[in-house]
Amino acid sequence: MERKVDIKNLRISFRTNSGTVKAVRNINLELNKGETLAIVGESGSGKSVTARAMIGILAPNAIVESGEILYDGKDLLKISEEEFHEYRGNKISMIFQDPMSSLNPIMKIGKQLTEAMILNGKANQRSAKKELNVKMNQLKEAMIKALAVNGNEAQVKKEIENKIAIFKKFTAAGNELEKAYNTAFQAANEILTQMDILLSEIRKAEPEDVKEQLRDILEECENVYQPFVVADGTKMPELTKELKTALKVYTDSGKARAVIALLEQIQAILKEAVAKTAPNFFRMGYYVTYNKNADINGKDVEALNKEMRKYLDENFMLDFIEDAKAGIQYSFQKALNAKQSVVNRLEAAKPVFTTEKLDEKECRKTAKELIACVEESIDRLAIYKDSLAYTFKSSIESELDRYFKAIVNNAKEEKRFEQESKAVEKAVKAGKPTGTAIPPVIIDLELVKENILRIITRLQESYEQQMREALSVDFDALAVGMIDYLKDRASAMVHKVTKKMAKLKAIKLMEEVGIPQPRKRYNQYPFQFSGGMRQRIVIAIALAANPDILICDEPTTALDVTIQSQILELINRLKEERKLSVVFITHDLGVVANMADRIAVMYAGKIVEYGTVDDIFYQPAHPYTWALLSSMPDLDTKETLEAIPGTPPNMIYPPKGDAFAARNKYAMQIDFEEEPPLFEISDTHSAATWLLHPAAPKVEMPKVVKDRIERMKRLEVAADA
Amino acid sequence: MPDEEVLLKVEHLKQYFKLGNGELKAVDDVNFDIKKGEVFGLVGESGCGKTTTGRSIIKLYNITSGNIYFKGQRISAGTRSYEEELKQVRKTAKEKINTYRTERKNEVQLAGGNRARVAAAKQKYAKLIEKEQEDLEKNLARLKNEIILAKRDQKDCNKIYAEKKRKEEGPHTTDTNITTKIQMIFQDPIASLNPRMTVREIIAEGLRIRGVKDEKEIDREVYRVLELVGLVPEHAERYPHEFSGGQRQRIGIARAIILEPELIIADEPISALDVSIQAQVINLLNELREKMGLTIMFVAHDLSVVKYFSDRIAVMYFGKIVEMASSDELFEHPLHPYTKSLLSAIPLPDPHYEKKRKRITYNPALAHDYEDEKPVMREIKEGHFIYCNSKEFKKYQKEMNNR
Repeated sequence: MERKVDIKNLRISFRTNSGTVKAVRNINLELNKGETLAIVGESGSGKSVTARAMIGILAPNAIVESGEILYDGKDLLKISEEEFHEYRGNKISMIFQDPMSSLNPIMKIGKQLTEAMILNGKANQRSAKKELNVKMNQLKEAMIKALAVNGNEAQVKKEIENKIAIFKKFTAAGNELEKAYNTAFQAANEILTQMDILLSEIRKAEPEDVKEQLRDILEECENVYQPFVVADGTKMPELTKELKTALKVYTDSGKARAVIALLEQIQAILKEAVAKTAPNFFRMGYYVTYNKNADINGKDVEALNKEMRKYLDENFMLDFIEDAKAGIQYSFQKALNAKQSVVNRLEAAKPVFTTEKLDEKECRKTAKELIACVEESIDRLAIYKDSLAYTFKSSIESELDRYFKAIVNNAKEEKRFEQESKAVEKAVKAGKPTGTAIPPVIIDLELVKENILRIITRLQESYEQQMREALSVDFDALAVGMIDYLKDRASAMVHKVTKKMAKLKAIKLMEEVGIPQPRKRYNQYPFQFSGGMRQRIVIAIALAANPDILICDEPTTALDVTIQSQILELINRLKEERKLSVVFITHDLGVVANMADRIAVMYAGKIVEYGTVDDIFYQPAHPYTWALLSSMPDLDTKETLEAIPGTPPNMIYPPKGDAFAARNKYAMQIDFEEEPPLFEISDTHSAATWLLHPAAPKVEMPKVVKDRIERMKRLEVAADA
Repeated sequence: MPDEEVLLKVEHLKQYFKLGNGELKAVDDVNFDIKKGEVFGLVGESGCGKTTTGRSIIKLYNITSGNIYFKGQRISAGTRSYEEELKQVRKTAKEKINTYRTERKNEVQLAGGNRARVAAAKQKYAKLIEKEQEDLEKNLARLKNEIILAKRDQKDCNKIYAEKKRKEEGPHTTDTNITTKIQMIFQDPIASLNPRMTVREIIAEGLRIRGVKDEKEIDREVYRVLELVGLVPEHAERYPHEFSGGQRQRIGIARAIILEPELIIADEPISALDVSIQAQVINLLNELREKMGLTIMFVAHDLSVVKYFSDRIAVMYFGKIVEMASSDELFEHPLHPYTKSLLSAIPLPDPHYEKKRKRITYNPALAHDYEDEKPVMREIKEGHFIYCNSKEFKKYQKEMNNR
């Protein structure tokens, strides 16, 4: 399964007037493609903070003490606000708890939906162009280096450059064709929806501005002619002509019958046109550019596709793929060789960062050298970016900065605190009213050192693993993947988002999220929507830019049961359809059962249990999960609820040992002394409780939970039978 | 356990709000009883009028029409129904008199010049009209009296109660206030506590309004209820913001119980709380119910909690109660399509079941055909009421018997 996001050793705290609140304490999470990860916990457990860190909207008083959030070769904790604009909404989207406060009350829904699409469209075009050129050049260089053998370099270079030029030329041609096709296809679609509305209005005998609508349709009809949408030689032109005359008759006499008949005929033609499969324009680009006898008009699309493929493969593509493969192989091998030396150098550099007190000059120098050789070892041609290597520079530099700044700042903070405390003491003695001294914000130097060491070790381990796996790499697949990537970028480059297209897409989105009468709703304001509908709009806006990751922060807490289940169903459906990765944050385990693939239960800033949905619900292992499960009634509960006594701990002074110990009736002596590690129960399931230690007494889960699980199992057996 | 004494009786309760040039029928003809000692659950989606019902009972609104009886005494009454009847009576009487007049005219014309016949007819109709007018006066007087009574009960229910008590228990009785016997717990524990008052002031406010001046007694009472709701006396000096959500809700409960009410209206008391804290609050309410013999009207939209906590449940949809039954009965034999749809939406902590769960949608326009006959509340089984017309009633009966 493809890994989307990796959260590693994340620690976040907040600077407040009464001290630093440790909101997230060393958590590790991963999110795969197409799955839902639920984070469950009570308020203040750090679940929202984690999610907010992912999308870069932490409050300004937050301090990221350590950790990385790796996404697509970037560490989301270290990139600048400017860079984050490319990710927020575009790649990672968020749905908030309260729909009303996340919509602009004085802007029409349609505008709010299309705003991002139009803005992003331009940015996407630009970035696609840049990415295409960069990759293309890298590929070119690699291919030349790979294929050049003693002395014929100039010739090889010429050949390769020629090939790249051909590739560029015909992809451009293909894109032009695709663009023309898209315009015609969209026009046909647009006419169809307009006709639907118009026909239903006429039939219900309540027509409004029929003339204007017909004129729009006629105008739009000019745009549908394209060999693969509405080919020339159909009845379309005649029909539109007749429609024009019928329009006149209608304006004079109000007779609609002729208009209806004509509209229905046009509708039939267009429906057929829209249902047709589109040809492969990438192949077609080559076919029409380089085949003198090319004739694409009036042919069956399937057969044409095959023919074009054969032509392209024989004349160009197979050869090109072979060359690309050589280039990729070369680049990979070069990086691999570099990796070997990097591993050794990393090992050698470790002592520099483990001394009692780090020496700034030496550290900086070593870091610089390390960064240089790590950069050297990155296979730039690889499409799947190696996040650890890519983020090595920013990680290690920011940690070093923190360390050397902290040495100065910690002393300052302590001094300030001392002075303030003295002043307060004095005031108290004098009997004057006074506040309290703000505790110092001390950065743990040892922790920073640990972080640095971890960054190094992790890269080392990852490289070692890559070297072990190097033999089993499938370069054919990589080469094909590369061609696909280039193709995709090239088509994204010409994909312009116009206002009209954005509107069409927005209306489609509104339909997708289940808003009735989207065309009418498009022009309304947020206050005209009910709570559930508003949340749907928020979801539609979150999906407008086609993100890979959707973060839902308690999206249904403000809604009631029926609406809640509608919204959950919607999120589930969209996840399936769009292969989204969803992070779902909630305090209600009942909601999660339906949604999640995996669940992380959080308490006091730590993950206490982590597993698949079946693990958590059918084999819960942590007392906190037990307590959560037993404290909520279900439809068969009769006995007193087992409430969790007390309240969550004050995270300014996190308790020693297990944070849940004070509220835990299964707590042992060790729980108050030492923090439990995450014990692994199975490959997918782990829990942080000393009860899982081999030396711990055996404890059963509470009877309520056990009974309920048994009941659920019985029910299931009954349902299956 | 609930005995049969009816503590609160709600009759034809209507609560309309003015809205632009029309009216919003927030609660439209709602009837139910709450028996002493029971927990009565009221569920429905947001905006269906369940909170409004609660607030009408506690007299936060002047009700539009209907009667609310508490401990047998009418504490709230609306005048709209009488006013409408009044209009109607006037109109029919006027029409009748008019018809008499035209008939008289006709008969006089028919009689031609015959004086005796003319006189007889005139006399006959004069009598009829006089009788009609007398009836009208009587009716008007009756209705006007009703309106006066309703207004008096609405305004002076406490005075009436005090007089009654003084008669029964002598002039020195302290039990003079009937409305303080109903107290409310609000949904949002942050918004319902005054941030500038200490917990002691918040809780003691009711006592002070009642006229208790002895500081020592107030302190004693405050500490007593604080302990009752699971807080400690030290908390009395603090401000609401220093507490967690669950503790704030406990303060809200303490404030509600210090006047020793008999009925508590809990308006979504746990919706704003974390799951782990919800259980604490429910357990607390259950304990208090046993200790103090409370009757609770529990308004919520979380059905698993309502099922767990309530003895009887009423399901509301757009200002009307559509189904009412004991909680087991309602969950075992839901009949009204809206109830079914609500029940099918409950999420349960069971992933395998959840993945198969099918939600039933409810669309009133498709589910019912009320063109021929308007629906009313009918009893389908003892204690199980359903809002339907006779055709549907037969269908439901069949459904009931098939199970």
